[in-house]
Amino acid sequence: MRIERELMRGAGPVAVLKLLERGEMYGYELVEALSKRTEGVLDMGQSTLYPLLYNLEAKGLVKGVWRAADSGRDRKYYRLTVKGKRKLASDTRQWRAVTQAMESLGVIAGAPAPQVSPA
Amino acid sequence: MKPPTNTAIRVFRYTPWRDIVRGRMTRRLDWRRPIAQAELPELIPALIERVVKRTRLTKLEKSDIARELCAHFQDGIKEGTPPSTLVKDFGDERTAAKLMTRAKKRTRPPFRKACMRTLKIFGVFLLLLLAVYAFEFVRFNTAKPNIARNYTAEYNAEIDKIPMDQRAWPIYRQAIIKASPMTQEEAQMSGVPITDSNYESHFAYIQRNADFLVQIRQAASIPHMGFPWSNTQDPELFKAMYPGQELEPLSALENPSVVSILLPHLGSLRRAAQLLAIDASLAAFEGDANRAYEDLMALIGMASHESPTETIIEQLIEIAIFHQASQTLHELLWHNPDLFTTDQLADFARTFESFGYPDEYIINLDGEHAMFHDAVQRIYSDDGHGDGHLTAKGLREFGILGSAAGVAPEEVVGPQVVSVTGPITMHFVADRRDLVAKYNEIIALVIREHARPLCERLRDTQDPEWLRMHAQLGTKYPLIQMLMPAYDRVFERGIKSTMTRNATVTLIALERFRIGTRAYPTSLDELVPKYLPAVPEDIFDCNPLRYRLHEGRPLIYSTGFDQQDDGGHPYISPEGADSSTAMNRGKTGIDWIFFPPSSYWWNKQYNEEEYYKQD
Repeated sequence: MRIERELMRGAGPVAVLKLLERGEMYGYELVEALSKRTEGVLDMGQSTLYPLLYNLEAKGLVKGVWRAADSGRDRKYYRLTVKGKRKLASDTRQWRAVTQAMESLGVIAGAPAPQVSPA
Repeated sequence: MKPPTNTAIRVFRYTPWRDIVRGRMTRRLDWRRPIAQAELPELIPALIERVVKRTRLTKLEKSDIARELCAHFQDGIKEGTPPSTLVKDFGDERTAAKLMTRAKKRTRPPFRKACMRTLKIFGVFLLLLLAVYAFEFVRFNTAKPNIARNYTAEYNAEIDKIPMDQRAWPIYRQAIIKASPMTQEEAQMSGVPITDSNYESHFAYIQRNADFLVQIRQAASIPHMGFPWSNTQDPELFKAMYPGQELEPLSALENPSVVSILLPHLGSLRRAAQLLAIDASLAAFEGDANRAYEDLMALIGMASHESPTETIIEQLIEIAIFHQASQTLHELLWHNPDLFTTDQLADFARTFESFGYPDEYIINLDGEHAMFHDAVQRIYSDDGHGDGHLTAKGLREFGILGSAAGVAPEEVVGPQVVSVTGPITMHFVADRRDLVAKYNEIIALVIREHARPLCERLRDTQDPEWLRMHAQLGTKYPLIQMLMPAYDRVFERGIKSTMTRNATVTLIALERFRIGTRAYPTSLDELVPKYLPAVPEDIFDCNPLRYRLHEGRPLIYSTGFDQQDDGGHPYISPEGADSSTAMNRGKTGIDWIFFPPSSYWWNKQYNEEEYYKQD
């Protein structure tokens, strides 16, 4: 299923922040994780992911660091900042409220509330 | 893709300054280098290069994106994804480049963003300025003034209407051409009283110029001057006036600027007036009252010629000649009070009284208006509605005009500089409508000021409004600054002329009274109405002209600028008493004495106590 652009614009950043909550990740890893864990719903091309990462970086929500990987190649790893963690918590609460509202309207039926760790 | 060669220049070119300073030749600015070094399969390096190239970012930012995309594709290949799939999954290149550019710019430090924004604003402003300048450059350099009026032709058309036998100039011209040149010694004869010791030299001088005098007297009796305007010298006249000098050939223009009009006749008229004055003195010395009378009447005639448009300089010359006539008459009456008959004195009274205007002598500004408006039409463009702007062609003309006024911008900076700086100058200098409006405003103030009685004006505690406005013109109205004469000085000449006339008319009446009653009156009121319609005014304080007897002779004086009656106190110079500079501003305790004349004071060892005791 392909998500419309406007909806993706709201969901994409919080999804990336959520993925980085567990620890730092590099670009390709994020693309793969998004695709696999959302079963392709939030499938994101590189043309979308990297600008999104740069935006998050500009807002101070993530920080990118170049580091040599085990293979010896350089990769840029992204991790959440403190500000990013606060933002994730806030966005999670909002998404939960939206989901509940949608549920009460019958747009979505009995969808389980996502598990969100405290900020 | 083959990595580029590491030449020293290339290494320097692609290494940031801060890395060079630290001694690290990183080549971080070379964004193609990581793509080349990544050893990615075909299609991918080209894709990355296209995307990075499309981003409008700094080299360092591009390099960062290139490295990240390379790492991304390497990870994909390592995971076993076919290159074609990776390329397909990448998405739209243009969108990627656009979004990356926008996002990367957001990651820039705020200070850098502020600098970039400032630079951008400055750049836009500069571009805007350049566009405006380019527009104005074209406007300034392509516009042409519209010289619609030919003031010279208009003036000469008026001259042409006057019959030849009613024009004085052709006779003056012939007289000047035939006259022998004046020597240095002769030039100093004017104003010197004739005595036994200098009689011979004066007599010889007059004899040499006898024919000249006849012609001058004839010309002076004609009311119209009839001098035609031209921008060229009359070769015959020039040769006679400046013997031995080469005439610079100038072609006569069909429509010359008024500023470039030559008035060579004025110098000749001054010389002719001096000659008449000397002859009058000589005639009086010889007891020839009729010749002296004719000479004096001729002097007044010279000072009273009419012209269609008179410039200030012409009027100043007329005033000077009139003053000379008055001074000569004063001297003659001082040395020989019974020289003239009552009829001759009555003629003098009528003639002197008619000079100028009933009250104050009014300086006619028509010539100056013609000069100003002619300059405006030559310098400014014309939109047909009274407005226009400075033009390059006009400024070149301005140079010609300026050289006449002592300023020639192109001689200083050259025509190219005028073309380049002109569009900027245009914005600091008033446009045509504004300039003319300001000129008219000042002129209206000048006329309004001049219409007020002098005694009232002198009580003002500050400069007249027109003078204050003129002082504040700054660089916005250079044409007014250049062409507007110092009216305050010009009007002083008018004041001098008015007072001289009033004093002369009074003196003539006093002498007529004396001849009739064998005594001078005790008051000027006794002269009214038989010898004077009214007692002339001392225009400095709006009271009657001052008069008393001194050594049995009339003492006629004015308070002068200080408006204080000091009892006829003459100006004391180190050389002795003098009356000639008494009307000067800034002097107190002295009066302006008209009679006795200058020669009385020259040799007088002034003793103040004695001076008053005698009276």
